[in-house]
Amino acid sequence: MCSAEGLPNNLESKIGPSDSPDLRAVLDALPMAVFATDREGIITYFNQAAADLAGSEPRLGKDRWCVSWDLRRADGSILPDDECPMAQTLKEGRAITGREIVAVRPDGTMVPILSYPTPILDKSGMMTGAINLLVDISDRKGSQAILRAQTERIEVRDPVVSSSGEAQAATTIDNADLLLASQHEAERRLRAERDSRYLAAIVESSDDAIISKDLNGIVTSWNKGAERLFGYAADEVIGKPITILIPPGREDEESHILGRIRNGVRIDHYETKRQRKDGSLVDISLTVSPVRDVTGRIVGASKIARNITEQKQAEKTVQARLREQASLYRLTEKLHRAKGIEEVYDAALDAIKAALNCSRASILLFDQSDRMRFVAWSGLSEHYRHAVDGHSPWTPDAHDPDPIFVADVTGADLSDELRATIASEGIAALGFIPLITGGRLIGKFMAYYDKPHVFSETEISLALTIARQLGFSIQRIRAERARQLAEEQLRRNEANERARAAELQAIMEAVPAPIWITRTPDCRVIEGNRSAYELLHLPPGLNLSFSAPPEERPSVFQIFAAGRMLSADELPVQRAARGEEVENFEEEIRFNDGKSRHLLGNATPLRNALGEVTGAVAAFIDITERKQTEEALRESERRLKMALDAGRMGAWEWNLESGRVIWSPGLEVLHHLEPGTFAGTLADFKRDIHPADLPAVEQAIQRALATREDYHVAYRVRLLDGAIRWMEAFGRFSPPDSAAGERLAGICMDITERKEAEAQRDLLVAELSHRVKNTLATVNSIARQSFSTNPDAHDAQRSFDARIRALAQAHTRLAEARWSGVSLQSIFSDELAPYRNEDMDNISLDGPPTNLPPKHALTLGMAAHELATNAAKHGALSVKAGRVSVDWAVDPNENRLCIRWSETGGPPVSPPSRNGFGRLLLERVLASDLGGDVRLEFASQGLNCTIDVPYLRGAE
Amino acid sequence: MTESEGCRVFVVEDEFLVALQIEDDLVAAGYVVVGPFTTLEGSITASREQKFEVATLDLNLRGEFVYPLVDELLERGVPVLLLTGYTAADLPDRFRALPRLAKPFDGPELIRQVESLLAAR
Repeated sequence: MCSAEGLPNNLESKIGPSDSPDLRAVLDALPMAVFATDREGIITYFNQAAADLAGSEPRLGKDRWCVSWDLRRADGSILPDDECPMAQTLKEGRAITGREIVAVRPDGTMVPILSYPTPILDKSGMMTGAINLLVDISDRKGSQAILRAQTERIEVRDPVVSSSGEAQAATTIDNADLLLASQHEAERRLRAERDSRYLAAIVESSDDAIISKDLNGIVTSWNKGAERLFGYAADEVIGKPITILIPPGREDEESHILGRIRNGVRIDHYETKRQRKDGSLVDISLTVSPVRDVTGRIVGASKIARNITEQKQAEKTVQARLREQASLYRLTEKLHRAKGIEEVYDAALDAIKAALNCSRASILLFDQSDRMRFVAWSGLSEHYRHAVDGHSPWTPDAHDPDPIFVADVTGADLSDELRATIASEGIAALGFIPLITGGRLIGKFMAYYDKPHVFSETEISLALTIARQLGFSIQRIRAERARQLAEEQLRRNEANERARAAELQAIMEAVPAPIWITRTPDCRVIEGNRSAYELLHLPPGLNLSFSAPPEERPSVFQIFAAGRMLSADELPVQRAARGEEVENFEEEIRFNDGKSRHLLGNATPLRNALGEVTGAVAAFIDITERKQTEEALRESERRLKMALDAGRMGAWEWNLESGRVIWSPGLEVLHHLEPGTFAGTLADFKRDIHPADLPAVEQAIQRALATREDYHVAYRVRLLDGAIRWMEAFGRFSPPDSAAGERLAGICMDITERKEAEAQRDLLVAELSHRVKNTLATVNSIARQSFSTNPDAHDAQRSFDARIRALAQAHTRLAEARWSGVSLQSIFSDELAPYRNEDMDNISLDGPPTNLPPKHALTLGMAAHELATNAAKHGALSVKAGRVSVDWAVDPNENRLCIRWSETGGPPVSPPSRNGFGRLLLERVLASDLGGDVRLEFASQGLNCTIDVPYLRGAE
Repeated sequence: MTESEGCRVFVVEDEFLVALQIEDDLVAAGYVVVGPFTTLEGSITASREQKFEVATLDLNLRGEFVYPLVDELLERGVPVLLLTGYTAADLPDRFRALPRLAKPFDGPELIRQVESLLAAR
């Protein structure tokens, strides 16, 4: 290897466009990747090292070298072709010194390299292409150390060669320099001789073991570096076979090396192991070159052995870091692309195993009951998973827990059982790495090792990085899942809502009750369901709102309540749209054609999720028929009540099952009870019944109950105020299958007036009979008196007839006045009428209006008849000039009626010779029948008769 | 006829003309008439003061029924003949069985009833 810093300048000066074959040979032999392109970037040259580094041979004139590699930047990002260092140099015409890039070989392995592209200029200074030098820095630190050492060696190489005249210390660069040296041989020899002392000193002081041996493998020189490396002092090994350094199992190597040396082939950087004096093995890099004598014959070999244990270690470490970083990189990429949680788990398991160098891994998360459960694993038996399921060093509420690394299960602080379980799974070491998202412990991942394993800081850091990434990804997937679920739920809800809305719409349409609905609080549009439009005889879809603009309002009906037309704001939907719950609203829809429908319903506000009113809905039932029935019933009840009131009747009902007795208010009134105060039992009914009639009532009830025939009874009741009233009751049994139980129901009439009328009639009949028979007895007596006292039969007959007529006349007057009485004037006027001479004014009647009771009328009537007859026969009315005056007066203090009969102008009066019937009648009948006092005065100018009888005005 | 000679008959009748006829008939048959009385009160008073063997009573005395007197006389064992236009149905139950002469009646019937009462005495 050569110094990367110095090379491009050399090339610029020495490798020109002429591209001499010599130079090509130099380049071909270079152990470092070199290639050249034309101005377009098309490959024009490459050496073997370049092909080796690239992993394939480019096609000259075709490939664009820089694009044939998949390049990445040092940070791992993709490096576009046209931005590669070579392309940049071609584009800008300047050299780039050591830009670090990563080349990806076709087999996928990656090589970190330093790129040194340099423009190739022609004589005129025009750029004709570029040459690029690539330095593999896979083992950068170790490599740099080696480079440093080799650079030092290169700087001292020429003198070694020139002084010994033998083969040179071997590096590939040597060859190039040797070529150069051959061109300046004299100069170099001179310099070599001059510097030979330095060489010996350098060999002695070199860190590397520099050994020479002959073709038999016998050690011929042994420097201090060899002593340090292998532990043998020079005198211990010089003259001894080199094989004492060969460890068991590598015995063939020496003969192989010697065989190649004999053939003049050098061995470069052969990495192998050698055994120290103390028996330990050491990694070395071996470069063996043939040593020739001056004739060119191979006489031995020089051997440079370099302790590369550290380098090896460094390489391993670098490899590990690279692997780890690659695994992290892959993890990041996979996690980023993961669509599902399983991909996340798989990527994480891969990354854990790769980054932490473990053979098995698992991921566990707390489930909903906070139990740690396996969610993904690699290489774990079912038995093991089952056995440790739920085990967790932390509870879910652990705050920022530290990872736990168990380097050796055997010495760990674990329960025997757990340890046994772990051991039986072949796990020797393990790590618990907490997974935390959003500050909360959600689970852990586990790394399992088959052998005890000390976790390095790097591994711990990696583990935490993976845990962070994994936690973040789980959270991301979970959040994504939650979001999907929420979206799905939302979609489902929306679908459900739509389905429900459709369902409700269908129900609303199908409901046989009219429904009004508005979807705005201002009720500008109100729609109805099918039933509503049918009810209103309107086509579906018409706006039913009276709150609509005038031209949209319904015009074929109006809405009334309690007989009053309602304004739009008073309508139930409008009220509900203002937030009111309207219940049991009764309205009447009056159509223009005079028909109407009665509706009863409720209206309720429609609200959104915030509770704001967004509309209203009202549902009604058509109660028109019910209203009509009710009205008919009310009318029927009103008529019944009227009939009952008019007939002084009440209704009653006796429920035989409950024993309850119901009286109508009218019946209570009949019993002088306040309506509603009847106590409601049969005993309450019986209590008012007159004791004398109670047996009859009870008997009637028993008979009705026994026969189920109609009940009919009349009885008296004694009311609270002591009044006695007659009642007549009729009842009939309800049909026995009546739901309300068997009842006896009927009416009850107050028949007191009828009963009294009946009594009155009976009394009247008796009275009539009594009077008629008394009258007949009187007539009988008049007849006997008339005929027995008058010898003149003819005259007696006339007198009798006249007396009967007078009696009949008085009866007629009484009958005309319905036996309430007759006026005194008419009694006398009737009797005197036949003798009245208007011209002579022979009769005068004078007195206050005086009504006579029947007995007075009859008796006074007969008295008046006798007086008038006598006057006409013998007194004042027997002559033309005679006059009769009757006057009367009532003495209210004495309660007496005084009648004075005076005759004047008649023939001279003499007292009668005998007492005739007339006088008998006057004097004795009046006295006897009326308790009166009669005085007859036979004055010369005419008869005077004074009748004084008790008279109680108003007594009639 | 001889048995009735001088027998006293208590007459209550408020209708003078009827009373006159009763009186005439009884006198003609040889009886002595006590009365006639026309009021309930007057007749009760008289019945307690006068001596008589039999009574003819009008039922209705100007609206007053003669029942108290009937009860009193029956109590005293005096035979009673009711003279009335009322039918038996119009009478209180206890008097329906009493001898009764419906108005108008003729003289011989009256005498026959009075005689039979006296005979049964």
